[in-house]
Amino acid sequence: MNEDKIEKIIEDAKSVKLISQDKDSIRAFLLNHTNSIPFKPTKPVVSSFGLLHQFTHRSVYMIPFVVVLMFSLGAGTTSYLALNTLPGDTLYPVKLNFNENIEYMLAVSPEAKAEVDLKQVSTRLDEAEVLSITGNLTEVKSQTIQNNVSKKIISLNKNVEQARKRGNNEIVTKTDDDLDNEVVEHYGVFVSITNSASNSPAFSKLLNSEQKIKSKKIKTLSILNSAPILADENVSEMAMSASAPAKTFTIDTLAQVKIVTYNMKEVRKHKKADDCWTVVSKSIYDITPLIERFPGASSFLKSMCGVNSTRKFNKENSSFRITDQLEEYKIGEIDNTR
Amino acid sequence: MDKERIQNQFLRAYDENSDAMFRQCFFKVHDTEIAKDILQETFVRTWDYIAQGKTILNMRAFLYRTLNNLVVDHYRKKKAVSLDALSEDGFDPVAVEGIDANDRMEGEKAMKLLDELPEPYKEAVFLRYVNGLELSEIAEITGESLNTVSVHVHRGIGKLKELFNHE
Repeated sequence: MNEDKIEKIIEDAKSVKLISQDKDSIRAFLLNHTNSIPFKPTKPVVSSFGLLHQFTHRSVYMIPFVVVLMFSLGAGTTSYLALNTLPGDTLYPVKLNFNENIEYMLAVSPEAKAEVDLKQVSTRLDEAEVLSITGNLTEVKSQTIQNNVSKKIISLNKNVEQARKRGNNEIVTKTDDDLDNEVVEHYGVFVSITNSASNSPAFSKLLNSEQKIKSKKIKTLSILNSAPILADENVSEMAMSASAPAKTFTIDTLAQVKIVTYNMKEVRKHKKADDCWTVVSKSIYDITPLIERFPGASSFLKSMCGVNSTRKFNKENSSFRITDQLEEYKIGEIDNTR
Repeated sequence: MDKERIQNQFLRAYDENSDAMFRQCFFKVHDTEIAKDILQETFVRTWDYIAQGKTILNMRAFLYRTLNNLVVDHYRKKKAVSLDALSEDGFDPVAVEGIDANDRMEGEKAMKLLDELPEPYKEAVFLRYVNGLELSEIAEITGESLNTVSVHVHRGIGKLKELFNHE
């Protein structure tokens, strides 16, 4: 029913057009104008080709030139074709690892890098939404997007921290707001990928750290009403429950969507300094960023990787002043019945 | 390429796109006379650009971008003039002469409904469905990625459905 109405609206809107008299008079004016101003013909491309020809004619340059040209054209074309790819497409890794890395490298200051990080978070969520619209948001793709968003958020946090150290304190609030806006803007799909059964540990960490950091409410009824509506049942349910008048949503609500559990066997797999999980009082923490942040405590922290460190942590943590920060890095809870 | 050939291509672009572009402009400025002026100026500027020997790769996207820029300029200038002063001068923002009388009522009603959509969905839906542009062209005009445009169009249609449900 609605589809018919929309079709009619669109057809009616199409009927708005110039009356033929006006159309002809503008055309006549344009014809006159094109005849009245001097016309400079487009430069022939032959001259540059001539230079090219002279260069390639000397055989000593020929082979390296052709190799460089083919590489440039190949890489350039591939890179261009990868621009609008989605997770699962053959060229998607090119977009992710080549195009976006170059964009990131071209940003010099931490502020500019943070901006690129935010833009790429938005791109990931757009991709998720397109996949959702087309019914292609599979479990694996959700996981890929979660991981990629998490990586960008970690990078974003680093850049914000660097900018803050350089005296730019405003960036913290601005980035916080911008990130909130991205989540609100992509609310439906954000919940969709958060509800993914194989919730990525890094993504859970993101939600948990958001929960810790943000105390302000990010969603009011009006914002929710302007948020996307997707076919996903969970999303519809959440949107409906949010339609009660005075109800507001915080990022905490999102974090409560799923509590991730792991067993010790899974925790033991993350025992390296660059991939370090630990267990303290039944909670699992990914303390990899802490190792980088507290070099003085790195040997102590490294000794916690992949093991249950409750006793060790309770005994020694006071000297390292990391207790408060630890909660930010919680990624799940231990469940040895799994 | 010789002038006559380019001139013919340019006028063909006018014949093919002027109605849709006028509609786009009218949708934004809600005034027939202003929409006609902006449309004419869009083509004048485009020809001036071509006449300087510059190349346009996608004529339709170029025309729409120029049109959008002129609409923005129009609003910037308009801010400086008070509405009261304009009314005293006889300016009537709902004047609709210049649109085919048969199409006026339904067309304007449809435009008003579409106008209720929030940006950026409004423009995406209008360009895609009313003016029939490809997603890639809309991406070129708005400077968004193809995926973002797809999202905006899809959400726009969703919002239009919501508008009907609320009616």
